Amino acid sequence: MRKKGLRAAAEPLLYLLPAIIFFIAFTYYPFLKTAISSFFLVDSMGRAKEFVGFENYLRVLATPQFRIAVKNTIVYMILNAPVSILISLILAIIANKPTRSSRVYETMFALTMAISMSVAAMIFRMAYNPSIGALNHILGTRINWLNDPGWAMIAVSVIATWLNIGYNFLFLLAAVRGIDKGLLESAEIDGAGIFRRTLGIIIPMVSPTLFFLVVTQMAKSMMMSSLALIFTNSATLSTTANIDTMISYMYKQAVNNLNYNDGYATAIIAFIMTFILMLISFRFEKKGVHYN
Amino acid sequence: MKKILGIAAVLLASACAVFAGGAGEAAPADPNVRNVEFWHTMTGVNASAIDALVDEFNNTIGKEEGIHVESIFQGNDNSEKLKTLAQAGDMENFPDAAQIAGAGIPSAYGYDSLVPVEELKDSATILDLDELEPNMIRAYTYMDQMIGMPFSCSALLLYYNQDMFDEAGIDAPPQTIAEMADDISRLMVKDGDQVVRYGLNVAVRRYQMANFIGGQGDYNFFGDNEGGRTAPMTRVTFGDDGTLRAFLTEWQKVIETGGYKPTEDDINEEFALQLHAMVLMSTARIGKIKSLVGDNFNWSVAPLPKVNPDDKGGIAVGGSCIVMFDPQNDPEQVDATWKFVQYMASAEPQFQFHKDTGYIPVNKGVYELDGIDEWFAENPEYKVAVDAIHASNPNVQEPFDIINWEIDSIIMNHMLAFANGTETLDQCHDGIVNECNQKLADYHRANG
Repeated sequence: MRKKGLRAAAEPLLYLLPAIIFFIAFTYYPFLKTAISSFFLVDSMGRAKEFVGFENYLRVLATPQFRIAVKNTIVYMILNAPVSILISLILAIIANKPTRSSRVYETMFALTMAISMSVAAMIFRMAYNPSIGALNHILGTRINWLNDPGWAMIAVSVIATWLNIGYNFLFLLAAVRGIDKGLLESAEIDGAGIFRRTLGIIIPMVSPTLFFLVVTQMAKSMMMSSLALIFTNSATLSTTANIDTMISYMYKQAVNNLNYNDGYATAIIAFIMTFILMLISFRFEKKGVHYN
Repeated sequence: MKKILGIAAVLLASACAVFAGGAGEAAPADPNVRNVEFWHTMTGVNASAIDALVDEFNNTIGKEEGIHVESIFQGNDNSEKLKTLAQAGDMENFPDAAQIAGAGIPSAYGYDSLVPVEELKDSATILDLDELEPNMIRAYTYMDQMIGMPFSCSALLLYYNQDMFDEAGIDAPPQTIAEMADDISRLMVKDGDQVVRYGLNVAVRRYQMANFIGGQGDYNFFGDNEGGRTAPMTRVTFGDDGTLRAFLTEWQKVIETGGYKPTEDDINEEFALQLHAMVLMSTARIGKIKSLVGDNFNWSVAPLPKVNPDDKGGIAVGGSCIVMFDPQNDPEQVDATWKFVQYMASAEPQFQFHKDTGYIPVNKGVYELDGIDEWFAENPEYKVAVDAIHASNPNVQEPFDIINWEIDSIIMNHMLAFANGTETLDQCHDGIVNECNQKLADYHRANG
């Protein structure tokens, strides 16, 4: 009997074991190693030489490029996550009622999921060209979108926002369609317009999905590096405006410059900032998310 | 039954896919054929040109000697990938040969499995090393040892729109930066306050700076220890010897014209659309510009304008070399790799590679080959590039500055701020010098 009890207790752990092994090997161990190494002077081969306390952190925090990277990351997060989720929610509400043609526009709205980030970057880069790009031509402006420090991060955020719409749309469409139809119909009969229904019923009812999307998207935004690296780290696509994010800055310090001292400290600072943000989000969850 | 058949079909398809994938990349079946792994960094037309040379080697010398070279594209960061392997102590997974840029030489020098060209020089059977261009040998020489074999070579040139020059009454391309500034004022076109045609487009970064600093006087070094060639570079010297100030003083004339665009967006396309009268670009872009411009207008290239009228240094060699490794500790394998590397720098393959890609030949023997005169007659732009390199002092080189990405970013940011008027000449000068020296000091503190 006791044997059976032990087996029953061990069984779920055994199922978890493969995941735990991978987490330890590829997440927790590298994290610990990075955290410990960030307090040492490390050479270009990754060997720790001497304990230097918080010196690496103080140097990174005093570097203007890193401070710009922090600002850029926050701008990107603020522009990308809410805007993309808002657009997706509007599209999901529009696509809510299944009709004969809904398959077509559902696919169209979700299509950005199938586009690779580097391909999107190439397409947008052409559109953003200040002299021959479509955007300035349409708007009648002469803005150097990717090379003007004031515009560059906004331009990059637009690409990510566009790319994320498909993924967010799929989740929100499922959530919106999952709302009890009777509830919406009775609200309509009672004279509630689309805005009233959206604010009073749809948003509270899809709030768990919205919360999931906001939290994952914010964490992803804080960790964004791909677009920044595509635009600043390639021989053919290089912008002169500083559009580094915290993680692209970390990558360049560690991989390109072999400067693990700045790289490790940057990684830990980025982790702490993201962690704080996640704590704030979960605090909000208790107040703003309805699970029934 | 249907389900079982379905699963069987999927398994069969996966097995076929696995074997199909393997067949293309596997080592040659013949056990007497030696497989040489070669990592390259090129894409598009350039990659096809490299693959064509590898195929040619495999079908000729390779066939006779029992060598099969496998050409593998590894992205444009071979040096970083080699460094990662070295950090992990994984010498076994080093390739036999890898294409790297000059900046990667000091790191490669420290790898246990590196086989410097210097060690094999006397055993050359395919290539006469005396035929190699001295600038290009120097480009990949570190601590008095030839580390890599020059393979692709490019240099900075002035591209100009001949029709615009004719229209503005300018009869010759500028020889100096000051002359270039005068020409910019005559070539730029404004609509009210808005510049609709720039006189010049270029973003001044490490590559351009290395040329403007290196070409001053007879030649000049970017940093100490001959720009990092006799020992690791510990500081930049262009602040002490006045060459940076001399360049910035002249460059200010360019900025003051108001017709200079300091950021590069799509420089090839914009030049081809006649949005700029002049651009500074690598010789490797000649082919691209030819295809973009077609017969739309007349254009040409000229040597890079000098900082001072009496400068004699010329331009620095850019491009890449091939370094060799001995991952298997096997002299016969090294010998096979050495044959391939010699072949890649030989006259005929270099002529072919030049015609396919526009890179300047690293082998002087190319100029003795049949067809070269006709080629230059049809493509005079390439002759200008070759002459510019021949007229340059071999000591004018890109620096071995180890932290080249960081130096590039420092120079780019300050030069942009200088061009935009957010930094004065002094601020730009001191910013570049102090930040480069600080970063080099940080590097040596951690690695000394």
